[in-house]
Amino acid sequence: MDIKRIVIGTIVGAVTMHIVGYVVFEILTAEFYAANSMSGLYRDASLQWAIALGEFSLTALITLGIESRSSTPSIAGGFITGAVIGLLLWIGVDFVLYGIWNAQNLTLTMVDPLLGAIQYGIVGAAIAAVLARVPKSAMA
Amino acid sequence: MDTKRLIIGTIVGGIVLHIVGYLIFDVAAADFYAANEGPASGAFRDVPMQGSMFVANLAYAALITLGLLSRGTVPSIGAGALIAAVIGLLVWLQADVFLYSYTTIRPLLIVIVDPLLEFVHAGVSGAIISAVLARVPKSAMA
Repeated sequence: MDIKRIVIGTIVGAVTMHIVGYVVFEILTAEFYAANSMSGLYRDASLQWAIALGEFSLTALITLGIESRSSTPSIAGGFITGAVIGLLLWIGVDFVLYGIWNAQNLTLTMVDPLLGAIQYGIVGAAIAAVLARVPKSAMA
Repeated sequence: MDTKRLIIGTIVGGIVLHIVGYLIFDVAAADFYAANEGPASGAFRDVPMQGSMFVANLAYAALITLGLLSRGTVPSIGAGALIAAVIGLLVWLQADVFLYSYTTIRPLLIVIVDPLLEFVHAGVSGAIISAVLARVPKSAMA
Protein backbone atom coordinates (compact mmCIF):
# COMPACT_ATOMS: atom_id res chain seq x y z
CA MET A 1 0.00 0.00 0.00
CA ASP A 2 1.51 3.34 -1.12
CA ILE A 3 0.72 5.87 1.63
CA LYS A 4 1.70 8.86 -0.53
CA ARG A 5 -0.83 7.88 -3.23
CA ILE A 6 -3.52 7.21 -0.61
CA VAL A 7 -2.98 10.67 0.91
CA ILE A 8 -2.96 12.43 -2.49
CA GLY A 9 -6.06 10.55 -3.65
CA THR A 10 -7.88 11.31 -0.41
CA ILE A 11 -7.14 15.04 -0.57
CA VAL A 12 -8.00 15.36 -4.28
CA GLY A 13 -11.14 13.34 -3.72
CA ALA A 14 -12.27 15.39 -0.73
CA VAL A 15 -11.88 18.67 -2.64
CA THR A 16 -13.76 17.25 -5.64
CA MET A 17 -16.46 15.79 -3.43
CA HIS A 18 -17.00 19.08 -1.64
CA ILE A 19 -17.48 20.97 -4.91
CA VAL A 20 -19.65 18.32 -6.58
CA GLY A 21 -21.66 17.79 -3.39
CA TYR A 22 -22.35 21.49 -3.07
CA VAL A 23 -23.54 21.75 -6.67
CA VAL A 24 -25.65 18.57 -6.58
CA PHE A 25 -27.16 18.68 -3.09
CA GLU A 26 -27.18 22.34 -2.07
CA ILE A 27 -28.05 23.92 -5.44
CA LEU A 28 -29.61 21.46 -7.89
CA THR A 29 -31.63 19.24 -5.52
CA ALA A 30 -31.97 21.25 -2.31
CA GLU A 31 -35.73 21.77 -2.81
CA PHE A 32 -36.26 18.06 -3.55
CA TYR A 33 -34.56 17.08 -0.29
CA ALA A 34 -36.50 19.65 1.71
CA ALA A 35 -39.80 18.51 0.17
CA ASN A 36 -39.16 14.85 0.99
CA SER A 37 -37.84 15.19 4.55
CA MET A 38 -39.40 15.80 7.93
CA SER A 39 -39.79 19.51 8.73
CA GLY A 40 -37.36 20.83 11.32
CA LEU A 41 -34.87 18.10 10.50
CA TYR A 42 -32.17 20.19 8.85
CA ARG A 43 -29.88 22.72 10.50
CA ASP A 44 -30.33 26.32 9.38
CA ALA A 45 -26.67 26.33 8.32
CA SER A 46 -24.78 23.10 7.69
CA LEU A 47 -21.52 22.46 9.63
CA GLN A 48 -18.73 22.75 7.08
CA TRP A 49 -16.05 21.20 9.32
CA ALA A 50 -18.17 18.12 9.81
CA ILE A 51 -18.88 17.84 6.09
CA ALA A 52 -15.15 18.08 5.36
CA LEU A 53 -14.36 15.34 7.92
CA GLY A 54 -16.96 13.06 6.36
CA GLU A 55 -15.59 13.73 2.90
CA PHE A 56 -12.04 12.82 3.93
CA SER A 57 -13.28 9.55 5.43
CA LEU A 58 -15.21 8.62 2.32
CA THR A 59 -12.58 9.60 -0.22
CA ALA A 60 -10.06 7.52 1.74
CA LEU A 61 -12.40 4.57 1.14
CA ILE A 62 -12.71 5.34 -2.60
CA THR A 63 -8.93 5.78 -2.91
CA LEU A 64 -8.36 2.44 -1.14
CA GLY A 65 -10.83 0.87 -3.60
CA ILE A 66 -8.99 2.31 -6.60
CA GLU A 67 -5.56 1.47 -5.20
CA SER A 68 -6.52 -2.12 -4.36
CA ARG A 69 -6.24 -2.88 -8.08
CA SER A 70 -2.71 -3.67 -9.15
CA SER A 71 -2.99 -1.86 -12.51
CA THR A 72 -2.70 1.90 -13.05
CA PRO A 73 -6.19 3.36 -12.61
CA SER A 74 -8.02 4.72 -15.67
CA ILE A 75 -10.52 7.58 -15.43
CA ALA A 76 -13.37 5.28 -16.51
CA GLY A 77 -12.28 2.62 -14.03
CA GLY A 78 -12.08 5.23 -11.28
CA PHE A 79 -15.57 6.47 -12.16
CA ILE A 80 -17.00 2.94 -11.98
CA THR A 81 -15.22 2.16 -8.69
CA GLY A 82 -16.42 5.41 -7.14
CA ALA A 83 -19.97 4.98 -8.45
CA VAL A 84 -20.25 1.39 -7.18
CA ILE A 85 -18.95 2.39 -3.74
CA GLY A 86 -21.30 5.40 -3.64
CA LEU A 87 -24.32 3.40 -4.76
CA LEU A 88 -23.79 0.50 -2.33
CA LEU A 89 -22.78 2.75 0.53
CA TRP A 90 -25.82 5.02 0.26
CA ILE A 91 -28.28 2.19 -0.38
CA GLY A 92 -26.91 0.76 2.86
CA VAL A 93 -27.07 4.01 4.80
CA ASP A 94 -30.35 5.33 3.39
CA PHE A 95 -32.27 2.10 3.87
CA VAL A 96 -30.94 1.72 7.43
CA LEU A 97 -32.11 5.28 8.12
CA TYR A 98 -35.46 4.65 6.43
CA GLY A 99 -35.78 1.53 8.60
CA ILE A 100 -35.20 3.31 11.89
CA TRP A 101 -36.67 6.81 11.43
CA ASN A 102 -39.44 8.63 9.63
CA ALA A 103 -37.37 11.68 8.75
CA GLN A 104 -37.23 10.88 5.02
CA ASN A 105 -39.74 9.23 2.69
CA LEU A 106 -39.20 6.25 0.37
CA THR A 107 -38.77 8.45 -2.73
CA LEU A 108 -35.81 10.20 -1.17
CA THR A 109 -34.46 6.87 0.09
CA MET A 110 -34.34 5.55 -3.49
CA VAL A 111 -33.16 8.71 -5.27
CA ASP A 112 -30.36 9.60 -2.83
CA PRO A 113 -28.15 6.56 -3.62
CA LEU A 114 -28.45 7.29 -7.36
CA LEU A 115 -27.25 10.85 -6.83
CA GLY A 116 -24.55 9.48 -4.53
CA ALA A 117 -23.39 7.13 -7.30
CA ILE A 118 -23.02 10.08 -9.71
CA GLN A 119 -21.23 12.22 -7.16
CA TYR A 120 -18.84 9.48 -6.05
CA GLY A 121 -18.28 8.37 -9.65
CA ILE A 122 -17.04 11.87 -10.51
CA VAL A 123 -14.85 11.80 -7.39
CA GLY A 124 -13.44 8.39 -8.36
CA ALA A 125 -12.67 9.65 -11.88
CA ALA A 126 -10.84 12.69 -10.47
CA ILE A 127 -8.82 10.54 -8.04
CA ALA A 128 -7.88 8.11 -10.82
CA ALA A 129 -6.91 10.96 -13.16
CA VAL A 130 -4.52 12.37 -10.56
CA LEU A 131 -3.14 9.03 -9.34
CA ALA A 132 -2.33 8.03 -12.94
CA ARG A 133 0.21 10.89 -12.88
CA VAL A 134 1.71 10.00 -9.48
CA PRO A 135 4.55 7.46 -9.75
CA LYS A 136 4.31 4.48 -7.43
CA SER A 137 6.97 4.54 -4.73
CA ALA A 138 9.59 1.81 -4.74
CA MET A 139 8.57 0.90 -1.18
CA ALA A 140 4.96 0.03 -2.12
CA MET B 1 -14.54 -10.57 -10.55
CA ASP B 2 -16.04 -13.92 -9.56
CA THR B 3 -19.80 -13.29 -9.60
CA LYS B 4 -20.64 -16.50 -7.75
CA ARG B 5 -18.37 -15.54 -4.86
CA LEU B 6 -19.71 -11.99 -4.86
CA ILE B 7 -23.31 -13.26 -4.60
CA ILE B 8 -22.49 -15.82 -1.88
CA GLY B 9 -20.52 -13.24 0.11
CA THR B 10 -23.31 -10.69 -0.24
CA ILE B 11 -26.02 -13.09 0.95
CA VAL B 12 -23.96 -14.51 3.83
CA GLY B 13 -22.81 -11.01 4.77
CA GLY B 14 -26.32 -9.58 4.59
CA ILE B 15 -27.61 -12.22 7.01
CA VAL B 16 -24.66 -11.84 9.39
CA LEU B 17 -24.86 -8.02 9.32
CA HIS B 18 -28.57 -8.23 10.12
CA ILE B 19 -28.09 -10.57 13.09
CA VAL B 20 -24.97 -8.88 14.49
CA GLY B 21 -26.51 -5.45 13.88
CA TYR B 22 -29.61 -6.46 15.80
CA LEU B 23 -27.51 -7.70 18.74
CA ILE B 24 -25.32 -4.58 18.83
CA PHE B 25 -27.73 -1.78 18.00
CA ASP B 26 -31.15 -3.10 19.04
CA VAL B 27 -30.10 -5.06 22.15
CA ALA B 28 -26.69 -4.15 23.59
CA ALA B 29 -26.61 -0.42 22.75
CA ALA B 30 -30.32 0.34 22.38
CA ASP B 31 -30.55 2.32 25.63
CA PHE B 32 -27.47 4.35 24.71
CA TYR B 33 -28.95 5.35 21.35
CA ALA B 34 -32.34 6.13 22.91
CA ALA B 35 -30.68 8.34 25.51
CA ASN B 36 -28.78 10.30 22.88
CA GLU B 37 -31.41 11.50 20.44
CA GLY B 38 -31.02 15.05 19.18
CA PRO B 39 -33.58 17.87 19.33
CA ALA B 40 -35.42 16.71 16.17
CA SER B 41 -37.78 14.71 18.37
CA GLY B 42 -40.11 12.12 16.89
CA ALA B 43 -37.69 11.21 14.10
CA PHE B 44 -37.32 7.58 15.11
CA ARG B 45 -39.90 4.89 14.32
CA ASP B 46 -41.42 2.99 17.22
CA VAL B 47 -40.45 -0.29 15.53
CA PRO B 48 -37.64 -0.49 12.93
CA MET B 49 -38.65 -1.70 9.43
CA GLN B 50 -36.83 -5.03 9.09
CA GLY B 51 -37.34 -5.28 5.30
CA SER B 52 -35.67 -1.96 4.70
CA MET B 53 -32.84 -2.88 7.06
CA PHE B 54 -32.23 -6.10 5.16
CA VAL B 55 -32.00 -4.29 1.80
CA ALA B 56 -29.47 -1.99 3.43
CA ASN B 57 -27.48 -4.90 4.84
CA LEU B 58 -27.33 -6.62 1.44
CA ALA B 59 -25.85 -3.47 -0.12
CA TYR B 60 -23.44 -3.11 2.81
CA ALA B 61 -22.44 -6.78 2.47
CA ALA B 62 -21.90 -6.36 -1.29
CA LEU B 63 -19.55 -3.45 -0.59
CA ILE B 64 -17.64 -5.48 2.01
CA THR B 65 -17.43 -8.52 -0.28
CA LEU B 66 -16.12 -6.37 -3.15
CA GLY B 67 -13.47 -5.09 -0.76
CA LEU B 68 -12.54 -8.62 0.30
CA LEU B 69 -12.31 -9.86 -3.30
CA SER B 70 -10.54 -6.79 -4.70
CA ARG B 71 -7.09 -8.37 -4.41
CA GLY B 72 -8.03 -11.42 -6.42
CA THR B 73 -7.73 -13.87 -3.51
CA VAL B 74 -9.90 -14.44 -0.46
CA PRO B 75 -8.17 -12.97 2.61
CA SER B 76 -7.64 -14.91 5.82
CA ILE B 77 -10.30 -14.58 8.52
CA GLY B 78 -8.19 -12.05 10.41
CA ALA B 79 -7.40 -9.98 7.31
CA GLY B 80 -11.04 -10.20 6.20
CA ALA B 81 -12.17 -8.91 9.58
CA LEU B 82 -9.72 -6.01 9.37
CA ILE B 83 -10.63 -5.04 5.78
CA ALA B 84 -14.35 -5.15 6.56
CA ALA B 85 -13.87 -3.26 9.82
CA VAL B 86 -12.02 -0.45 8.01
CA ILE B 87 -14.78 -0.31 5.37
CA GLY B 88 -17.45 -0.18 8.09
CA LEU B 89 -15.58 2.50 10.03
CA LEU B 90 -15.05 4.73 6.98
CA VAL B 91 -18.60 4.23 5.64
CA TRP B 92 -20.31 5.10 8.90
CA LEU B 93 -17.87 7.80 9.95
CA GLN B 94 -18.70 9.71 6.79
CA ALA B 95 -22.43 8.92 6.98
CA ASP B 96 -22.73 9.90 10.65
CA VAL B 97 -20.69 13.05 10.20
CA PHE B 98 -22.70 14.05 7.12
CA LEU B 99 -25.95 13.54 9.03
CA TYR B 100 -24.56 15.50 11.96
CA SER B 101 -23.54 18.34 9.67
CA TYR B 102 -26.99 18.62 8.03
CA THR B 103 -29.46 17.49 10.71
CA THR B 104 -30.17 17.84 14.42
CA ILE B 105 -31.22 14.23 14.94
CA ARG B 106 -28.10 12.96 16.71
CA PRO B 107 -25.59 14.60 19.08
CA LEU B 108 -21.82 14.49 18.59
CA LEU B 109 -21.38 11.60 21.03
CA ILE B 110 -23.30 9.27 18.70
CA VAL B 111 -21.23 10.48 15.75
CA ILE B 112 -18.11 9.29 17.60
CA VAL B 113 -19.43 6.03 19.05
CA ASP B 114 -21.50 4.77 16.10
CA PRO B 115 -18.56 4.28 13.67
CA LEU B 116 -16.65 2.40 16.39
CA LEU B 117 -19.57 0.01 16.86
CA GLU B 118 -19.72 -0.34 13.07
CA PHE B 119 -16.02 -1.26 13.15
CA VAL B 120 -17.03 -4.28 15.26
CA HIS B 121 -20.25 -4.91 13.30
CA ALA B 122 -18.54 -4.98 9.90
CA GLY B 123 -15.44 -6.72 11.24
CA VAL B 124 -17.40 -9.72 12.53
CA SER B 125 -19.24 -9.89 9.21
CA GLY B 126 -16.00 -9.69 7.22
CA ALA B 127 -14.49 -12.56 9.23
CA ILE B 128 -17.49 -14.78 8.55
CA ILE B 129 -17.69 -13.82 4.86
CA SER B 130 -13.97 -14.65 4.49
CA ALA B 131 -14.45 -17.98 6.28
CA VAL B 132 -17.30 -18.92 3.93
CA LEU B 133 -15.62 -17.68 0.73
CA ALA B 134 -12.47 -19.65 1.55
CA ARG B 135 -14.60 -22.77 1.10
CA VAL B 136 -16.08 -21.67 -2.25
CA PRO B 137 -13.91 -22.76 -5.20
CA LYS B 138 -13.04 -20.08 -7.76
CA SER B 139 -15.16 -20.36 -10.89
CA ALA B 140 -13.29 -21.09 -14.10
CA MET B 141 -14.77 -17.90 -15.60
CA ALA B 142 -13.27 -15.55 -13.02
